Amino acid sequence: MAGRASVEMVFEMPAELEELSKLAEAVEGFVEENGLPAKLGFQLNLVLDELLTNTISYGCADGAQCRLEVRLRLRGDKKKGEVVLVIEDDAAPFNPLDVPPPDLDKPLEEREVGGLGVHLVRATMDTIDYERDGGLNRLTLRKKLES
Amino acid sequence: MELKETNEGDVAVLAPVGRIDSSNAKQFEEALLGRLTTTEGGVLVDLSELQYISSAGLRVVLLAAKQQQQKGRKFALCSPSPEILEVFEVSGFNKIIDIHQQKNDALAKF
Repeated sequence: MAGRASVEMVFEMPAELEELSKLAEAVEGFVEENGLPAKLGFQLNLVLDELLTNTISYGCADGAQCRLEVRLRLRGDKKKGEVVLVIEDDAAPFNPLDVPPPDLDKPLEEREVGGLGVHLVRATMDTIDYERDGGLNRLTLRKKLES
Repeated sequence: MELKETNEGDVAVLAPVGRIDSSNAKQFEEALLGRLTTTEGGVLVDLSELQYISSAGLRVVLLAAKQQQQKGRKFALCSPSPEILEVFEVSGFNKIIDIHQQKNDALAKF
């Protein structure tokens, strides 16, 4: 299948936490159909869970009617290619890259209990780009597939 | 979200089953922290039946570890899947919480 351009999954959802389990199933289906490792499915779902939970809980609070769109694309060969995740929403402007990294070296009694979500996203993906485009937040996240 | 419990001597072994994410982390928090208020001894959280955990669940684990420490009681984790172990390591939890691959090894340290 070398030279194959790309396969893509598009998932649109209202801003409700209950929708996340449907998205997770769709991502697992995509991973399975394309012969990608199950670990990648776990990681992509973690990234989506963390980012969309933030958007739904904070960006779309106050009863705003937000729409979220997730595009998951496999580019190139499944051994040497990459996955590209694009998340768009019409919630309040929010750049998760502005969230300061947690201090992981503090002793237990001083560790803060929050702030790990975006950290997990950064640690999992290779690159993350944010842009505000018109009324949309758009995050593009890439991860190279390990052979 | 189910939290199974067994007792090994005076150690309470608590095993969350399934997935912990933002939709049920509150339930996990009530179950785990609620149990900590009634236990007298050490607590081992057995992760062998946990398939998934997000930062919402990590927060609860950290709260539990802090509470046990404040009371001078032991707290440890055991039997994570490779993916879940990685989540704990990336979060730096392996530096502040004892994490064991095997339940027996974990119990031997109590």
